[in-house]
Amino acid sequence: MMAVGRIWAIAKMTLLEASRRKVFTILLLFGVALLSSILFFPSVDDMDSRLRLIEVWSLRASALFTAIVGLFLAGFSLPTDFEQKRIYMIVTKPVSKSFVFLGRYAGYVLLLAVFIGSMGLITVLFLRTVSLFSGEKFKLAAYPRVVADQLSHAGGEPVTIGNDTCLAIKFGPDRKIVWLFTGLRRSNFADQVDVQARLVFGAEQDAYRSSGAVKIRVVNPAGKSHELTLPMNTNEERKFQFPADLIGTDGNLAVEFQAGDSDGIIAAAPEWLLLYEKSTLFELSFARGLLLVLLQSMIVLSITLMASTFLSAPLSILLGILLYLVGSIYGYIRDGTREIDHSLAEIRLAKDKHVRTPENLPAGILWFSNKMSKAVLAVVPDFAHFDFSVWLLKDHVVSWRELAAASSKALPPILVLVVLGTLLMVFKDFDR
Amino acid sequence: MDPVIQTEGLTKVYKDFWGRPKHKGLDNLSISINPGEVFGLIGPNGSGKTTTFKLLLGLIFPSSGKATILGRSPTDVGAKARLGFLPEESYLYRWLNADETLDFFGRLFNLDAETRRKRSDELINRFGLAHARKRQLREYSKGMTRRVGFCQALINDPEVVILDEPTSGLDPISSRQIKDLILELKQRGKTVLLSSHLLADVQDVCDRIAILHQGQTKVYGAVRDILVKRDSVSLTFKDLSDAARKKIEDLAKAEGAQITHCENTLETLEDVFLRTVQDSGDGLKYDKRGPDEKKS
Repeated sequence: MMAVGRIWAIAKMTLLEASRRKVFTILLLFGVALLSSILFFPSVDDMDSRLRLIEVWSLRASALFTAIVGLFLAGFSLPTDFEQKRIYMIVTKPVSKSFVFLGRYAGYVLLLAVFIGSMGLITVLFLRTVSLFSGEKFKLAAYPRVVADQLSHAGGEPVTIGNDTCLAIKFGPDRKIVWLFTGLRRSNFADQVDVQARLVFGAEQDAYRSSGAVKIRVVNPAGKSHELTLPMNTNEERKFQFPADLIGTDGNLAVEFQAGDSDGIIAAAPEWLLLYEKSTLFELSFARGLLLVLLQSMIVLSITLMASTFLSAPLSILLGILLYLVGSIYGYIRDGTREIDHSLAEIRLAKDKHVRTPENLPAGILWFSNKMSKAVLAVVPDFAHFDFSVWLLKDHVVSWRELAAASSKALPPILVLVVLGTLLMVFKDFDR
Repeated sequence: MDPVIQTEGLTKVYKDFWGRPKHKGLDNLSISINPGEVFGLIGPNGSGKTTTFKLLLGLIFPSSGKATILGRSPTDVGAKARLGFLPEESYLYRWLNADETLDFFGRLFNLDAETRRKRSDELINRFGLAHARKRQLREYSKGMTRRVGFCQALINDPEVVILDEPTSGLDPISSRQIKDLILELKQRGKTVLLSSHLLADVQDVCDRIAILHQGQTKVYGAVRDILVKRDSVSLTFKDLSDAARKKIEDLAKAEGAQITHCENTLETLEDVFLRTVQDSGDGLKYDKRGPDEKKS
């Protein structure tokens, strides 16, 4: 408890110092940035698109402003403490050097949380105001989604598509992919339940088949069902509806998909079919989504503060910026490494040893660059996990499960960096 | 009686980026400071005073030798809880005011809110900062910042006080107040280790001293023992007539003594300055007794 009190004292001082340095004036800049989104209104026709524009605009601005604040404050704090010797005043008190790092870190996390919360509040107020004065009846919505508890199949087999393990079935009367839902509550759904489905199509004699028809049947344990046939394309997120009255008191429901074409094959993963519940309060959903932004900011903060225990402020900030950039374009780098893997495999298989890669670079350089990229990707998290705009654009609620998944991606590197920073502080010799 | 501060062969070699020895900041320092003692470290710039303090406070690690404070390692959190430190410069958080600064440092000692408030009030009043307690430290003069530095060093009512150049940047009145404070701390049984360039200050308040030069201990012992001239005696008289003075001089000569110096006793400039300022009625107070009277 005494340790917590001392860490809290440093965290509180960090917050107070930041507020005295008037860092919160950046919120004014954020407000101006948000208002500037109005300039783009003429380029979008309907109210729905305008509100989405504000949502995404504000979210990007929040993430950027928070990252900048985190980078610069964290980058300069410890090096300034060392250079101006303010650190002497703390570590000569009954405070372990590690507490200084932890206190500073806690202070900046709180500061970022206040920043993100304030910017979120400003955004929501702005959205509500624009919506109110639009004269149109528009609803800011956030739909919780329900994923099936189980995916089963009859007469099919598992296949791997991309990163997903899917079930694939051929055409046939007894062959179907079945999503089983349990514990559904009728009161959570509107009269018609919105469903979103995604499939991958194939055919036995046609390697390029990417569309087809599917027969869909939604059935409850009492045998009451709703049937429809839909034409779909591969990876298209197709929506359809069924009557919510099919959801009985037991809450169990099965959604069955059969290939509609006689030579067709369909494949799907468990999470490729979603049921949409009634919209929850937008503000609450928005607040949960902002936690994703906070997680992302905490990663950038962790590496910058850790680096600042042994590097100068500019170098620490540079490292933080690099991490931010790599995390933001993680997907592109990953795809690039896969392409290089293919190129290198082609070279290995080629009989002509002088074959060069499509990039026209020596294989050795590509191999080295690929290894380096993979090493970086192994330690840097993919910031796509924290991109709340993906949820926002689809009116999706960030579920607790998704939040936990994002946390599981963010917390290990944060923990490693914080422990590393703490250890570096403990063994630091203030010999200047 | 166990020493409060002890060093044995304490050595610090500063190294460059590649780990090669750059220069020796302190060479084989062995001192022992007893409870209730005021100990002074003196020496020119770069003599190793601040390095000694840094080693004693656990800010840097020794290359060899060892140091203990209150019988514990300098990095021991328990020892630091009983320690107060005033650095050479006031490395405070400029954006906080005096109240917030003392509250922050009080929290680092895990003092409860009531104790923090009480101690802050006492110290702020004692150091004459009550009128400026809500102003941010960046608006303070150097002397005022220094006084806040003293307040934070004493916020935990420490058993051991380490003061690096305590009178640096202070006017004569504040300087005298600090010397009075050091002697008061001694009277209260506290142990004080200080360094200073102002040798008169050290002479006024210290029981023992060590003179450092180029990292090495050149002189170490009680101030009186170090300063005393065994072959010379000074007598001070009050209301001595010229005739009586003549007789004493003759007697001394008759006994074979050589009179090397004879003049009226001079006051110190500090005493004259303080009396002048106080007589001007600006309300400032200081102890009129001389340092020697107070030390005794």
